[in-house]
Amino acid sequence: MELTDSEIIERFNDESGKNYAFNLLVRKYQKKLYYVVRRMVIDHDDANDLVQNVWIKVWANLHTFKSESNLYTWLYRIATNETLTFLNKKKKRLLVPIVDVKKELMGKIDGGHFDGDEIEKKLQKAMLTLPEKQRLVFQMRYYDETPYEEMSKILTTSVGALKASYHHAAKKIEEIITNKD
Amino acid sequence: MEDKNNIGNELGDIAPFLSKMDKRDRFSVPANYFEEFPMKIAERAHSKQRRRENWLGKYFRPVLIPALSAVVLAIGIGFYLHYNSNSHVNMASRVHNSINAVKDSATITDYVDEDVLVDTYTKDLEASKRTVKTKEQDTLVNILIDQTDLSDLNEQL
Repeated sequence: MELTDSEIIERFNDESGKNYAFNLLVRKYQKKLYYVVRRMVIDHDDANDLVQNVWIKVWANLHTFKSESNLYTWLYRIATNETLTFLNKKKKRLLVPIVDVKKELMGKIDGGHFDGDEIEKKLQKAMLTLPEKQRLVFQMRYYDETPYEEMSKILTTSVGALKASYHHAAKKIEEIITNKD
Repeated sequence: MEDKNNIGNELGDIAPFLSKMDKRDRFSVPANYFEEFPMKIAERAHSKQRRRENWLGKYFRPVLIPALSAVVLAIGIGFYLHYNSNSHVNMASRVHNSINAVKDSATITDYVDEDVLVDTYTKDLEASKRTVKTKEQDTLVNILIDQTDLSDLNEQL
């Protein structure tokens, strides 16, 4: 039987069960967190580095987590912060326009990092045309079906702003993928 | 909280084509990545913890406790001397102020006529000499009176 989040945290806070609880937690959420990050950075090596950093932060700070809030929301927030920071650093490090960073990511979709068919590749490329935070909002809603209230806690943005952002993103992507050219 | 049907309906209204697409992630992941990841991350977390503990162990060994105590003591003495030297500084500054006051008074004398100053000094000295002379004379007279035999004096007269 799978343990609940609060049971895992309880075991983690007991020194004798810490390793076991952490292992359970990683197994429970690793795929979800990996894909949140991977959809944003496209490259597996970058995603792998980022999720490792996320889990190390979780290991170091889980004892401070307050059980009245949702654990997955907390994990999600760490992962999205880590990812957005990484993308911003990448832009600054390369000293190249955002368009070129996006071109580089689009190249990775064509270059063996993505196994989907043509329409799915088109969807991935369409998402890359969005500003990073809007892309994150769209992906959280589209793939993870995250409610606006939860997204608001993760991204510290109002529900109204998130709705507007998602609607705008979905319409833009629909236009791109239904365009025959 | 919203349910998943609402989320699906919302997308169907905004982007009907997109809402019908397969949402599975198609990113390629190395073989056994998710099976091996928990072990890798546990290893990394432990090695990081060990490094932190080693660092703590290195700098806070029991052998170093006397050395740390000596450092704390030295700092305490340093503070004590610092405050003490401050009191010396205060005392020195007081002496310095006094000297300045004397110098100031000396500068006042620069504005007084030197002759007037000499006259005043001389008069004062003469007066004191006179006093001394009178006192000395009185003493000598008294000694003479005491030591002189008045009958001999009468006979001689």
